[in-house]
Amino acid sequence: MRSFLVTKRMSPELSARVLDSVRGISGAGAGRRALKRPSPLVPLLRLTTGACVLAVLTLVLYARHQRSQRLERDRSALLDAVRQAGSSLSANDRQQRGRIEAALSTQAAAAYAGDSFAEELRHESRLESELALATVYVRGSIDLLATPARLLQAATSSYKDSLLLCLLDPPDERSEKTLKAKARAALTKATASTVMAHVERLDPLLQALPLLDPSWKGRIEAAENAAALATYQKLFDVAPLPSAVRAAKARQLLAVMDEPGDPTVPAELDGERRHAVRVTLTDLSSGQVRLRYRGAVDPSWLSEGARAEHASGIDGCSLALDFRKAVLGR
Amino acid sequence: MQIIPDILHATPTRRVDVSKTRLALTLAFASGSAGGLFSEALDEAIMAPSTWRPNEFAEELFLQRFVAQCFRVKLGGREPVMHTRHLYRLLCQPPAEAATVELRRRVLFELTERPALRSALEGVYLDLCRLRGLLENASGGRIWDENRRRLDILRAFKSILDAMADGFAGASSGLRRLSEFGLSVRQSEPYQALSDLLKCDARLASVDVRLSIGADGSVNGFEILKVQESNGNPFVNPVWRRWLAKVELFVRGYRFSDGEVLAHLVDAVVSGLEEEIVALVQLLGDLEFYLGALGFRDQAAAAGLSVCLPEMVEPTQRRELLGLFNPLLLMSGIVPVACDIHSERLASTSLITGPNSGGKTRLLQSLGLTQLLAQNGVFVPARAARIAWASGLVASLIEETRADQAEGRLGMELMRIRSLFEKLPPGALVLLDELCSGTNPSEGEQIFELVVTMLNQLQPQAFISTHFLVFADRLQQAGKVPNLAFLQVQLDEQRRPTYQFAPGVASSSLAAHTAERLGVTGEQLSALIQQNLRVRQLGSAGGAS
Repeated sequence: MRSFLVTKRMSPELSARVLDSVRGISGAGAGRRALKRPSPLVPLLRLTTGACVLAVLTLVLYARHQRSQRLERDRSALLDAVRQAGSSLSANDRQQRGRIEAALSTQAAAAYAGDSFAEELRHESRLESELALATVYVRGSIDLLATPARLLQAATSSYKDSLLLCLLDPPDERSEKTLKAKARAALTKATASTVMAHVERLDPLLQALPLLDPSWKGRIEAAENAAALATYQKLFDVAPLPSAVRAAKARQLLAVMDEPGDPTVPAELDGERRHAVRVTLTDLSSGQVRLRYRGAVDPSWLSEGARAEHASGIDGCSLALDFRKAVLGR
Repeated sequence: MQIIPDILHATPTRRVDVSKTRLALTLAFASGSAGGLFSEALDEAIMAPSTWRPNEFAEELFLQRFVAQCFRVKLGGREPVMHTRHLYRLLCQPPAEAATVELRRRVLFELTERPALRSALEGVYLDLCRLRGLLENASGGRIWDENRRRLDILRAFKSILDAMADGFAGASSGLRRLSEFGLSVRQSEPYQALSDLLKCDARLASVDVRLSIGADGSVNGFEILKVQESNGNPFVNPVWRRWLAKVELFVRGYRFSDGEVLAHLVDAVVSGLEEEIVALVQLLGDLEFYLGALGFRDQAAAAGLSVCLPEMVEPTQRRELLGLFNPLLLMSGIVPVACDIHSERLASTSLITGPNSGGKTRLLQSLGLTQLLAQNGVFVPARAARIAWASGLVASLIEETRADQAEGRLGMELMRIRSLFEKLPPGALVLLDELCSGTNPSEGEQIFELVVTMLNQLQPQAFISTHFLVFADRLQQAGKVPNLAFLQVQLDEQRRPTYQFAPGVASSSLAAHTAERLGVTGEQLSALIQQNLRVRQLGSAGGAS
């Protein structure tokens, strides 16, 4: 084998000496080579080491390639899932949050605009059918609901409660025992869930709908490693996306805004005390307030036991009955 | 056939051990730690055949001191370290071949007649010293860049070859061999490779750059106009090949570096030139021989003395030494008094008489050194000289007592005389100082006469100094010993020695004069005793107080 040190312009004699030098052949001029000539094992060792390094390098590159492929596969799957989850959403649906925020900030204004009821809803059958439409429900402090930045705080702590249950399925009588049963049913009974199934909480809309936004897709596409992608995947998996989608498609918003309570009276164990409450039903497509009512709750009439255990629930149910009464006029 | 740059012998000879020197050279080239490479090679160099035996005269003539102090070279204010042991061995063994002596004489003659040649020779010698320094790492310093050192060695080597080829082209003596050697190497492939490698090292590529100068005179920028590699050079490789060469060397077990690539190219060039570099090791010794001889000439001239290349005559012809001086005195810082010595023919014995400290022993030393230098083909310490070939030299000039000597002074002298008759070749030069002075004069005279008579049978040229004045006078008067001549130290009007020699026998050794000069008369000794006692009394009085 020739050497890369030998050039075409070298004389044959010089070429031969260069080859002798690189081969470490003894003879003329072997002094330096005698001192520097590596052991025959050195080239073997270097070749083996080189092969090992090459193999490790190949393995590393292969592993990186595999990881990259897996990452792309996972990314693609997540994007597909996101796309699938959001496929039913229209552009209008995606603006649901804005509409809700606008409605809430208007209705939660400090000055109450007065009770107002759409005339066509003042019939029980019409009201029932209206309340049977897909609805987003939220109840919270008026201060929180008035501020879009604090809306999530209110939405997170707002659940389908006795007020909603009694609004949709009012009790036959207004006794403490009946109201208490409704309040307990709102918390525990499966039948209550069925009654309220078409109503969605605002919280899933606020928390999960962003996961279906194009910006979220961009973050998934930009994820540099599997760990980041796994985090997104986990968020996606636990997010209540069906609820969010349903909330985005809801026709109306049922908002219950608790005004500040009377500080002169003591609060119950669950925080309930006498205070005014605004209830509004807003058509989200037009932004028109269909029903607006301001009532008051006061747990003071309840027995001590019921008050300690279900003051808020009984008050909620009671308020629902007041609302229905105000709308229907009886 | 390869030319050997041997300028010491009529038939060019490789005198250093080539294989051993080559190995030492390559190791020195590789490691830079082979101190003594040149010394070892020269110390073990083969000498030309000689009939002279160094142990019979070298110590008596203080030859080592003579070489160390008279054969010195001063060049440009520097005094390079010479291989005195090699010079000593050379001078100890004058070549038996007359042609070799004649070659050396012609070389020295040409060097004295043509100063340009001497300058060229000195230049080559300085370059050789530099080469030696690089090879042996004379400074002992750490070598930071091995390749740079090797390239410097090659550059010095090329410089020497060029100087040899160009500097001695017009020489008519043996110096012409230097030119022939230089030219033959220059025409060889390894030299071409050497030249190409050095060119590659000096100029691998050239870059044309245009500088932009700002208003304040500072360089604001530059632009590379053209990059051109020396593509015609066999050592120039494209960048990618250089890189692959590094990988190749790494796989073969070497380091992965540009330096390793260069090291192998340098190796390849050196491999082709090792024979020539070894030849230069020998040449260094040759140059020191001639430059040392010229240095001796220069030292003598500085002291107002003349040296010459003697005329070599037949043994039967008249022999003379004009303006003879003792170089051992010269090296001691004393300007010696030159004298003239004549003798009718080689085969004769001269008895030298004269006062103590009259120069008899110095004359014997001068005669011995002159014969030795003449037969080495170099300058002798005389203004003009006619000298006959001697087959050897036996000198007995030092009377020293040794701790391990088996006999007394006379016994040792008699043993030397016995050895002299046993081994002395016919026609040799014999120098004996104060023969048989270590015994009763009357008995000593008998042995003396026996020696002088018997010596005649070996036909040497003998010079014997003696204080047996009456005996010498009797021999002169009787004239019964053939070929016997007499020389006496001449005295001036104040009966002081003039260090000149004339025929005849001295009438007195003037021991009283010498004693007076050195303060050993009765009065002077009495004064010394008085002074000694006075000092002791003062010392004891001081100690008591």
